[in-house]
Amino acid sequence: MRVTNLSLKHQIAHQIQIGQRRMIEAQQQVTDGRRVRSLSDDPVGLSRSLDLRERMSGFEQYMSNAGYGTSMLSLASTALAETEQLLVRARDVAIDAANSSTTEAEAIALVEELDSISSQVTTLMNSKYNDRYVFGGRDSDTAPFVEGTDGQVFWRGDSEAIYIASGPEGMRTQINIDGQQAMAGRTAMISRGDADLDPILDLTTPLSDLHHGAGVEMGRFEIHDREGKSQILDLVPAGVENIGDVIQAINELQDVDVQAALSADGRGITLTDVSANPDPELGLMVLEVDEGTTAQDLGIWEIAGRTDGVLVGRDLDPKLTEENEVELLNGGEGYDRGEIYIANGDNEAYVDLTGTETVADILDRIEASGVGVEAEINEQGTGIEIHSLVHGTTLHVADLGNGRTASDLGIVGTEEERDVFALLHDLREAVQSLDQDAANSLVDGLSEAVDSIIHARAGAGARLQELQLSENRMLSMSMDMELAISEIEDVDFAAAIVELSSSQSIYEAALATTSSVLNLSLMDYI
Amino acid sequence: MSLFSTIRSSATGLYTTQTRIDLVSTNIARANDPSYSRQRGLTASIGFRDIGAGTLGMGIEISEILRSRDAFLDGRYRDDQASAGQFGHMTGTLQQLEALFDEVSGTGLGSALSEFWDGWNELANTPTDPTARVSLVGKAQQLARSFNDLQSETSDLRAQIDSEIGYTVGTINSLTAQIAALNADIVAVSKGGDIDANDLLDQRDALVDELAQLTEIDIAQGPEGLRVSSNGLALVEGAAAHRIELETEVSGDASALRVVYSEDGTEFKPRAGSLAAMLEERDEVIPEILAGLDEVAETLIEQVNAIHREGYSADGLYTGLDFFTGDSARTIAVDVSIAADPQRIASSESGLPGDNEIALRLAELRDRPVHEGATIGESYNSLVLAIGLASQEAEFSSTMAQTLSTQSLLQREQVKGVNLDEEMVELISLQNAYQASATVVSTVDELIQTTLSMVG
Repeated sequence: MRVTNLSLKHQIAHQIQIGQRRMIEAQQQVTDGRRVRSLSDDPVGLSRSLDLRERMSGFEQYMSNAGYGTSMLSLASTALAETEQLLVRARDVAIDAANSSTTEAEAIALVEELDSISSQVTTLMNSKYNDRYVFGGRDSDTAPFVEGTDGQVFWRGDSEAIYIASGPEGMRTQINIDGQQAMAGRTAMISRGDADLDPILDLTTPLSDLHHGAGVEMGRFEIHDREGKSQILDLVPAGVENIGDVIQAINELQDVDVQAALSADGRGITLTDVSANPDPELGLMVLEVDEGTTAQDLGIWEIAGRTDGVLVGRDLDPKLTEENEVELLNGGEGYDRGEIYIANGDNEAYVDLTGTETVADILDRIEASGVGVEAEINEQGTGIEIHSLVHGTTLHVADLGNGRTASDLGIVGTEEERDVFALLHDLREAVQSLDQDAANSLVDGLSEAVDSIIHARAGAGARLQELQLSENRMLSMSMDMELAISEIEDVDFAAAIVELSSSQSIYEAALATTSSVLNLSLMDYI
Repeated sequence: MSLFSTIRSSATGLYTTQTRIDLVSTNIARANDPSYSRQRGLTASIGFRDIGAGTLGMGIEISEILRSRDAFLDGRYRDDQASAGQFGHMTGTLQQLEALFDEVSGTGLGSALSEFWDGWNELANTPTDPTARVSLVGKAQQLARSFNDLQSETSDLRAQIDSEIGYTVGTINSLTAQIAALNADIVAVSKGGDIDANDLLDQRDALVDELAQLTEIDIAQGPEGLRVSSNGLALVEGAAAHRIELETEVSGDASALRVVYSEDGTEFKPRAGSLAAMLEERDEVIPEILAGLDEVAETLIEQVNAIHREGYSADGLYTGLDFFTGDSARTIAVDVSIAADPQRIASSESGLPGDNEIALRLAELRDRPVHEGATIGESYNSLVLAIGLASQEAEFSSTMAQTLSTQSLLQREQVKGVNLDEEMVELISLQNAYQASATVVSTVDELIQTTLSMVG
């Protein structure tokens, strides 16, 4: 190959160019720590990191939205908590006014207190956040609760949900609480608390249902028969679950001659001593072991001793369950399986309960009546309660003709919807006129109102938690994305520094050799 | 056989050597002139005499002065130059586009879009807060401006390339005219003139090199000189240059400059060279980007308006207003009445002030795939990605073409370039030759003197 002066010049310039560019690139990477400086450096990677950035920026906004929602829900939750306190106090006033004879002076003080409660609740329920009424729904410019001329407070708000965007892909969280629902109370609910359908036992009644659901201590007890023999029965290893199991376990005891059976009235367990040679001095005894309460819980605790050899156990009060057969109700008398009449607002229905076998059947038929009611076993486990699922209606349940169906089920009555403010207003009147019965009739309604508020608070709590969860999730996803972006855009420093120093030495070598080569000429030697 | 003929013969040696020293000196003088081709003298015997026993040479002469060139290497170099010119220009333009669509620094349209969605979120959070509305209008205007600016800057780039095309056409015409003129001169010289033909050839080669960067060319040597054609259209035929011209073509409301061959009006469309790149950029690359940008703008306008039209203003009025007016990146703008009174932004579906359903649905548009399975942000990002990929590809091709062109330049230099040391060696050997010839002349002179004294 022939080398010429121009080509030498070109080649050297080209090489120095390359060396210089490599060094500058390495130097830039080390200085600003970025591997990708322009789009064309890594279009695919960068486009991915742009997408990630956009998603992250969305996350930031969603988290800020969630922050806003959290503030609004927290405010609502606090207002509800304070309202709850006030209503609990109002219920106490109602209980006081119902039970004791109140003097007029006391009544005046109570009325004042009720007025204060009512106005405080109004203020709380008209709470504003960022100039919006928190409980007023979409109609956020108008106070949702307005005091009328007669001192009653009316609902003027909107019940629709308001959402915020709390996460990507259209995730929404409701950030308001329906003020009307939170303030919903009722007059005495049908059968609430008073009805006792008094079911009796059968062999399959679980021990946990006894004593209105309080159950039985799963411990030991000791049976002594009239021949002086005794034996301890331990419920746990015997695998006892229901009344039948207890009876069978007692009957299988080898050392004592005692037989067990359901009592004739079906309310408890009866033990009979069948010893061949009973000692007239001794009685049938059942004792606790280790200071337990198992024998007492089973209603057969007997320390005096039954010399007649027959121990009729006490009433075990099983709670009402959906599986209960209807024959067991009302102390084993069952109920009149006929028709009942239900009216809810403008809707009415005749519900045929003939042929029902279990409590669940009764509940199902009532709910299937199509008038918008819910039927369930009450909290105490003593009876059935029915309430309306429709706002603002009055619910009636009654017997038909000479039938006793509804009465036997304890569900005859009227339920009227009254909001908290109406209840407070009624209570004020009752206290003022020293009307004990009227005050008493408001206690259940106020309890229901407290429940409504607790329910609303629980809703707010669930949404707060939802916001928190989604915030946490976005935070951790953001961190992952940050990492992914850094992997695309940022320099591997160790590699970059190695590259810098190697490109530097290559460049230096190129410069040094260039200067020595360029100086060479034949002319120096002629 | 006479002594005088010996002197004559030596004298031819002196002349020849002198001429060759001249050549060496020219070579050395122009060693750094890139257009210069190394020249060599070809020598030949003048003739011979029959002296009975055989023949004797009568001396030497320079029969021809040759330029060291290789037509094949020239052709390759020019092809490589055409590619380098093409991809170099394409890279430059795409890098400018990249700078316009600057999303790396986080200040481009993408972040304006992101801010716009944030604005709707804020409004959804606080629908009754006038500041959220004012801020949203600001963000929307910023977004619309980003579209307008990107569109106009990209169009400006296109216009700039358009004028560059005009300039390049002028340059090509000037080059072809000069080449044609040189063709004429060279033919004249070869028919016996007193101008240095080699210098003219060098000049012509340099012009052809320059032309090759602008447009692909094919070269053919004819009796009338070089024939230069590009994509089948003759640009130079002997002493005649055929011009290419710009023609304004009106299609719809847009006009574009078309390059046509003046002889028959056909479109002049080279496949390589920087003119090819300019035409491709102006007619394909940039229009595609503009169309993509318009598509994003159009989708945004349509989607936002469709939701916005359903809503009620802050005052609870149904306005049926479009949020954005316009239908392209150039024309997109926030509705004038909304910009003047942000309370007119529709955020409520029911007319109630605290209802944020419309704002919420607009905020959710951010993540909704509305255009070929992509969100609006993703559609824009894929446009940016397309520019990045094209730029990366052009840069890669450009680097390749540069390397190839450097290599072919070096190969050509191997043939046509001057090596000073080589010339020095030649000079020394010529010096010796000259001295030898001179010594012969002086020796023969002495012989003649001797002969003359014999007579005297």
